[in-house]
Amino acid sequence: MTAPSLGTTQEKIPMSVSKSSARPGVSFASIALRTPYWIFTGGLAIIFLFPLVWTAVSSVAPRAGTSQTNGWGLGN
Amino acid sequence: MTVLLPTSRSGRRSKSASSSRRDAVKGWLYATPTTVFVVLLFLIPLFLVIRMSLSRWPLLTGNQGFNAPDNYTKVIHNRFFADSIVFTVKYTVLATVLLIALGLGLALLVQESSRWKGLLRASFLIPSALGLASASLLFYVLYSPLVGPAAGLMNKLGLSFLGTPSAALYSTTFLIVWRFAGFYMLLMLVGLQGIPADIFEAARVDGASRWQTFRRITLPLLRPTLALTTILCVTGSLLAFEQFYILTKGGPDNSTITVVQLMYIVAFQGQNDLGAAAALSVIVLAALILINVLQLRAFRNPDER
Repeated sequence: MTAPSLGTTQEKIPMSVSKSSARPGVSFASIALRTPYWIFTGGLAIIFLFPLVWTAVSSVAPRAGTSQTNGWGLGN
Repeated sequence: MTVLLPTSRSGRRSKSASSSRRDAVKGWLYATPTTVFVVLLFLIPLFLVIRMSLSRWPLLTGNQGFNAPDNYTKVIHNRFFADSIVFTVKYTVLATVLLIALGLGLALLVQESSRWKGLLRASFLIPSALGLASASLLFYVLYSPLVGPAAGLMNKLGLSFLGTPSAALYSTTFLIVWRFAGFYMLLMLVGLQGIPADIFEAARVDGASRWQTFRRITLPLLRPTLALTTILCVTGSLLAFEQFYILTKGGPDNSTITVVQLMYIVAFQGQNDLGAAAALSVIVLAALILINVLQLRAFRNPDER
């Protein structure tokens, strides 16, 4: 017997459940399972963004030996 | 009628001949801009470099005549030649493995669309908008034991990002991974999205696990993308220059001199010998051609062999 026609493959089970019924996507277990993913991907995003954020902050921060020695500003 | 037939045939023949000539001229006209670019920007410089590598060619006095194969023997006997090749290969392997693995991993992490994944994609891609020299300067300050964000910690623990040969290699590799991971993620994403979703669905229906799907479907169908990314990464890493020139200047202890940096040193620092530098670049070009041919063969579809 051949496999039945599958139609579109982009359908996801949580999407097909109506709003009134229980949504597996927001259950406590699901949140607990997803937390490591959020921490991991959030950490990665911080690693990628940190150098740029640090540069942007340093460019306006007061620092001896630069054109911005007193208070925050656009001296540099 | 019998007289007219040959005339009309010859007329048709001459018409088709003139039309094919017109097509040929049109073809040449279409090809001319590309041909001019290839000749001006590739063939002439290549010819000049080969000629330079076969001549005595000091930086300040210019061509002093044919001296082959002196430049090749001189460059092979250079005291940094073997070390620079070993270091460049080591760096290439490290950068390629990390970039391909991370690029694929990030692409798998963010391939579905949601707001959070869109944010992640943007975060990973933003460093790619920076020039390599600018990124190198940024990391030069980040790694600084005087003004970097980790300066206090570094002084307390006695750590240094660029102070030892291995630390300098890993720190520079980190910069490259940070700068290029988003770009390779993008290439992998394009490859992943080119795989028909029906195949994944069929595998799921057949009861394949995630690992089996990745191993038996994703990886084989990603072969062309993996070939492209590997070739780009290996070629780019073998030609590494800016990051080491800015971050380490070949140090500490001449331990991070790459082949291209050696070319620069031979051509513009100390020896000022363009002939020897050209000989080294011809050797690198030959090695690159060989490596790329081998990679293309390795990544060729088994059905095409």
